[in-house]
Amino acid sequence: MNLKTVDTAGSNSMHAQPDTHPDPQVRPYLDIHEQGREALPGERVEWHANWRHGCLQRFADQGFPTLRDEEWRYTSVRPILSKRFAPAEDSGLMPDSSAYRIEGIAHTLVFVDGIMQGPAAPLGMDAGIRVDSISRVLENDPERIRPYLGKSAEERAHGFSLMNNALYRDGVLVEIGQGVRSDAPLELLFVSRTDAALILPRILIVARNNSVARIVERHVSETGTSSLTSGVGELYLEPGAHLDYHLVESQSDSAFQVSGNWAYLSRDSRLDFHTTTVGGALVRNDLVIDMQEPGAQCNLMGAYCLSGRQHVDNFTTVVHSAPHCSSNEHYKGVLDRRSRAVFHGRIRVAPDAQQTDAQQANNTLLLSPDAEIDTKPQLEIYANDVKCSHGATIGNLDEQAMFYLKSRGIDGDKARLMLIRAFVDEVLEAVGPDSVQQHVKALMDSKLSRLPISTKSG
Amino acid sequence: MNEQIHADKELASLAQREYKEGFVTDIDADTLPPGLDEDVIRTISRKKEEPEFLLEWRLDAYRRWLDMEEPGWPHLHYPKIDFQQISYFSAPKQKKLLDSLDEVDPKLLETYEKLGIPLDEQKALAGVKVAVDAVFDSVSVVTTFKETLAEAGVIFCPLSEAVKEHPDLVQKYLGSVVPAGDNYYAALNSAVFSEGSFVYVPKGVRCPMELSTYFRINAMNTGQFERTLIVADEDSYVSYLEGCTAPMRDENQLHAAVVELVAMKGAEIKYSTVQNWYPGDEEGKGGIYNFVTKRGICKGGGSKISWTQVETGSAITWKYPSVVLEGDNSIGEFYSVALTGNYQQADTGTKMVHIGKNATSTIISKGISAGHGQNSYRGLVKVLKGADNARNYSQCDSLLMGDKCGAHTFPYMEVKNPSAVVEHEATTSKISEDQLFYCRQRGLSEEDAVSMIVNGFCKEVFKELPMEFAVEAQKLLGISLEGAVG
Repeated sequence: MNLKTVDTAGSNSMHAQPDTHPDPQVRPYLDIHEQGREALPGERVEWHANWRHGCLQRFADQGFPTLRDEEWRYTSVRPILSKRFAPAEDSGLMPDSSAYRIEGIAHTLVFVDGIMQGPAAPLGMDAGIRVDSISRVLENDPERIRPYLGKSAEERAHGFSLMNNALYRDGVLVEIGQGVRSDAPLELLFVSRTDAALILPRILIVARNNSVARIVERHVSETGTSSLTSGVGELYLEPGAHLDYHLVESQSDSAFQVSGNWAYLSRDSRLDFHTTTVGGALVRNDLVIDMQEPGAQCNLMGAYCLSGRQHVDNFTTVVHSAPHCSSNEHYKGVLDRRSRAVFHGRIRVAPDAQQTDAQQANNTLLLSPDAEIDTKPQLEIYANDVKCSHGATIGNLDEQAMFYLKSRGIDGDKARLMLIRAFVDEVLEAVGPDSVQQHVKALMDSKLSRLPISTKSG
Repeated sequence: MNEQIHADKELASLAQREYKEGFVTDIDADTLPPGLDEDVIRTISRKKEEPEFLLEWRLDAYRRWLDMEEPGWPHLHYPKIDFQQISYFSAPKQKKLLDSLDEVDPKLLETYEKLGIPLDEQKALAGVKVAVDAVFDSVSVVTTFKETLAEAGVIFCPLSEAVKEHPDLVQKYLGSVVPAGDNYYAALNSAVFSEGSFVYVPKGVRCPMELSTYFRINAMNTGQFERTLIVADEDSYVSYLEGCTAPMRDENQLHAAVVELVAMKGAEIKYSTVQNWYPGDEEGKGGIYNFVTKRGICKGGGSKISWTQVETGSAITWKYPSVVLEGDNSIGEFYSVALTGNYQQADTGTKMVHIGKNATSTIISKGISAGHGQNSYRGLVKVLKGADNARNYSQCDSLLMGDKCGAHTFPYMEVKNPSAVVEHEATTSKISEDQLFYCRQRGLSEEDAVSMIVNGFCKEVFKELPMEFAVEAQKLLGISLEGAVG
């Protein structure tokens, strides 16, 4: 694997000046850093401290993205910036786990407002899977995560992920041992409880050679809280590893979420990444897959169902850095009321990445005259022996299909629901573990049942 | 496999195709020294004896341009352009009015001869009548077929003449589709444009022949800033052809044109381009920077605008012929073949903006990259809230020849109406070995097989071109691919 050690970028002497920083939207977050510095993990580990301060400096310099940034042209973060968010204190109260439990998932790690509850390793976890808190690893054995932690910041990072790098207080490290094969999903459950909480999840996953594992990252809100979740996940797949990852976003409709996941795939590894979004006022999912060695494979599946004034932006980048890799991406969305979805799918095929197979599709159902979709697939291809395609469709329910169902005695509303459900099912059916599949289907059903589904025509 | 090796070898020679229009015509020219300021604009305006409103319009555009920044978003790489090194006006020295072709400088005619344009009426292509308005550097040399057109009531003349003879029409429509401050190069063009064509087709008239303009950049260090304005009044029809060439030179030359089309109720405009500007040599030296703004507006109900382009030349192409579908039931079409070889770069595509109800748009784009060429499709389909039943179909296919080239697609779709149906498809691949094998097995030479496959790839676009242009486009592609693939 092509790993570079993270250091460089800044030094201890470089402190952003919170008091004098000109951008009033950035200043409060610099203040948070200034006040909480003592408590931040890894400050005594030189490489980590340097890296963190480098990110802080970059965050102070570039601030939050605006509509003028090409990568954010359809998503305004103003609703986020108009509010103040700050890290919540640890209330010490475990949430009522039964309320969030998914049938069939035995291993769950709970985070309340981003703070890990209980021991890092959930009871009964397979022996080959090591789960640790990042702050503890930084204290005891920082070299263990040095090649992995923070690599994502080397890329073009935006203000939110830089903020996470600069301010995160703890995170979770999951290391799947060589050859370990585990079917039982490990769940990372993020519960937001406090209003205006700043939640900074940090996930680091290292899947060793030929391991097989399943991970569910789930975000829920306890009440109708309006919190800001700004997470960074870094996934490393060593040769032959197979990781099945599910990101499930069902926070309250007033919550904000900016989530960034970066995956690095080695030879013959495979990543299945599923994103399901039904909750959140403004959600942005950055997903970057870098296939660095031949034979790597990835499947990205996404489903979103939005209503009210929800705004979801899926920003995906698939990089074919090596030959003989394949990628398949399929996102499907249902938009009602005044919701808006943005899809950005970028496929980049490097000059020597011959024999690439890259497919991508984005389909959207627009159900209301006030909903909006902005879709922007991109192919950047520098090699010639490739098979690449992308497709995008936008439309309403098929009149003929509606007629067919109605002519068989199914009433309009029901027929409409059936068709919408069938539309998203194509993606949901691909969700691996039954327990997770049933959960996301149930989420989708409950969301659909709440849709007013503007009855435009019979 | 053997075929493949052979094909690759032949591909290499594609990268070295020669530019057959790369001759310089030695004609005395009246050229302004390089540089740009308000005085230069005043001079251009004075030389062209323009009315006051136009000078003010130019100066306004210039002032806007000063405040604008060169766009950095295209997927293109080129050194910064020094706009003070460019001469903004160059006219062949021959100022008196021409009555017939006999009076034209024979050297000029020879140039057009070499270009294969039948300026001469008898030579009208394959019996098809074509009216030609030839623009040499910045000045329109001669316009043929004027009388026939005049009988039908069609106005087809150099823009400078239209300014004098039909100032009301020009004032009404100039800049109505592409405003002076639309973008960096359009603003520059608005400030310094020196020539172009003007077409007005009156109500209910079907233009009796295809109209055609040939552009040619001849003088050294000149930029060509022509401006075309076509207005098709209610229920009229016009088909317009545009072709371009330039001599071979080491330095890069700038071509920043603006084309505006206005289609009123029930009118149809068909605009076809074969662009073969000098693409630079095999090391990527020299060549034309082709930064063009083209936009049409379907103003009235049931109107139609169709863009067809074959882009084989230019070091850099940056153009997005667009259609604003304002009228109900209007139709916008865009058919494009873009070929980049050597070190050519193209960032081209279209914009379809749906405003009216029941409007339809179709986008077919075929990109071919060879050598070190970089070919990008960039397009926008926008459906506004009130655009009920909008329908769009887009297809962008790229063909890759050689392992140093690149093909990119950047489509944008913004839809705000649930009754819209928008589809986009894109594929990228090389010529498959199966296809080659199939043809070879049936006794075709590799060269024939590849040219057949490439022609098939482009067919959807070529069939949209007027006949004589389709022949030329195929020939151009043929030259470009000569020996390219065995």
